Amino acid sequence: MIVAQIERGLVTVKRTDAPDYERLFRDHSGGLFRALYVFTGGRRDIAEDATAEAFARAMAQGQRVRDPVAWIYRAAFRLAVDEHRHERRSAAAVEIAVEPPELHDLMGALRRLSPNQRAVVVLHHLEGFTLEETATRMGIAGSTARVHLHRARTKLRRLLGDEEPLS
Amino acid sequence: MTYRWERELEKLRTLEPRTDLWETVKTEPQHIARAPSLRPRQRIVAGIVAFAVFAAAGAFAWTAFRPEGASRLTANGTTVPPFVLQVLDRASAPPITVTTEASSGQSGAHRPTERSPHVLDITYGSVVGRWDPSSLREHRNARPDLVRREGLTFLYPDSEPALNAGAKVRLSSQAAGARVVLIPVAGQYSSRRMGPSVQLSDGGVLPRPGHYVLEVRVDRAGVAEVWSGSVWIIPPGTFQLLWFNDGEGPHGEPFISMAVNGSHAKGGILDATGVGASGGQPTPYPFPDNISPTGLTLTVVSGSPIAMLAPATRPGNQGNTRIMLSYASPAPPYQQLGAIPVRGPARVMSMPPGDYLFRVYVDFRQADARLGFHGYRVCPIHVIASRAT
Repeated sequence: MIVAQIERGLVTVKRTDAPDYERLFRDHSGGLFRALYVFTGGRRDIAEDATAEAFARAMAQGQRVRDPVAWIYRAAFRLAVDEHRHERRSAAAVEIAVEPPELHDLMGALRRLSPNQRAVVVLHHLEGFTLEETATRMGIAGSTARVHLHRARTKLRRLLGDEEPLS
Repeated sequence: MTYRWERELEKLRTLEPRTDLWETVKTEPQHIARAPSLRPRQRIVAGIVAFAVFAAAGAFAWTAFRPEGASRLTANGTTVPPFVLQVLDRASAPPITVTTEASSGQSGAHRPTERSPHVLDITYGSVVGRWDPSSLREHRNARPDLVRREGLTFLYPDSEPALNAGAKVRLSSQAAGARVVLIPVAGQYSSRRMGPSVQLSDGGVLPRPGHYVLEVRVDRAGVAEVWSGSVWIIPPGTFQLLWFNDGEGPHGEPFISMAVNGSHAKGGILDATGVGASGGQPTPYPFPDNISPTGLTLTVVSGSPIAMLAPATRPGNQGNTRIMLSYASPAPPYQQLGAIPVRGPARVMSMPPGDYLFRVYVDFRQADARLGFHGYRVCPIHVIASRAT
């Protein structure tokens, strides 16, 4: 009885705080897309599909999602992984889209990292998430994210040079 | 301080998803195919199979790593105790210098072709192993000369120039009991043995051409310290001109690569600018014009043979990687003179005077034909009519 009341209470509270998904999309889709773009090694198609799909599924969940942004990130990463696996199983030839020339060096270096290393470095350094937030959004442990970040930084320094301090 | 990669990362902010993506979210939900979930019976079967695999792995792990007795059988049937391999502080390791005298020197010794090292300093070793004294006491049958290498560290080819077969070796060491052996292996980055080790001694000579792992071992009061590196020994009168890497291996080493060897015994190669400076660099990706200079330029007398040797690529590459010799022209397409596929036979070319390009085309694909990366590297070759030209 008590549980049911609590559950009903939660539902009631949540209904009054229903997420504005359009605003969330406006605020977070860019960052999510960039993280997925890097995570997939430059697969714009998968990054866009996973972004859209994750938002669509979150909307279908309605008010049951407590932390929509974290939920969407986790779902999107899982979708991107699934899509990659699906492509591998189907053994279909994949055309790699031409990326902007200014990203050639960076993406070349990022492709030398593992997908998780790439995603961690982008979420933490570009999108400004803390390590814990990054780990939550990727669905991995905080300590794992820390290791990925350390290795990613080391590799990127080696691949892109580390002797160019900005004055 | 801001590192370059951090500044490069900022460029990603220019990336945005397509503008109509929100419309897609609203109108076409769930368009990524979801893998069908397993039915209950399939789940049960999958669980049983997973448990069986887990149990088998556990049994295997116990057999392999159980502490009691702790003995294993080697290939020849003798019982070998376990050992401990530890990493020492490099600064505390005694310096050991192996000196080789390149006996392949030809007339005109100023040529870059004489860049085979006269002195090979192997204090670079990044793999340092030693027997842990306490472990040795624990295992009575331990032999201090037994070493298990937990994977070899290989150096980039351009930091380890080729040595000439037959070159005299001068071996000196500040450490007593130092031994230097060359272990023939299947390839520059292979650890598969291809024959018995060759022990080098002061005054000895380098063995026949091939790929070797050079290992230096010092035994001191039950402590064995090991350095190892990669060496390619080539025939006297030849030289290693160009390396090309098409990737990076699991330990950071580049998978091979290509090499061009050319004879200079008859003075065919006049100049080889940039030898040794071109290899070891990962192939950039992608290639705006599919051109990446090697930093190497050759000047060759017409009629001198140039061999394209040992083309190889990273394991599993199903792409159309090949090396080519072409007429030079300002822009693609180049007129192709000859080409060999990876793992193909060596090809010796002899060209009339003119400007040529040696091109390495890398097309890396996995077994599923997914494109990994592709691109060219080029090396200009100027063929002149005679030495007096």
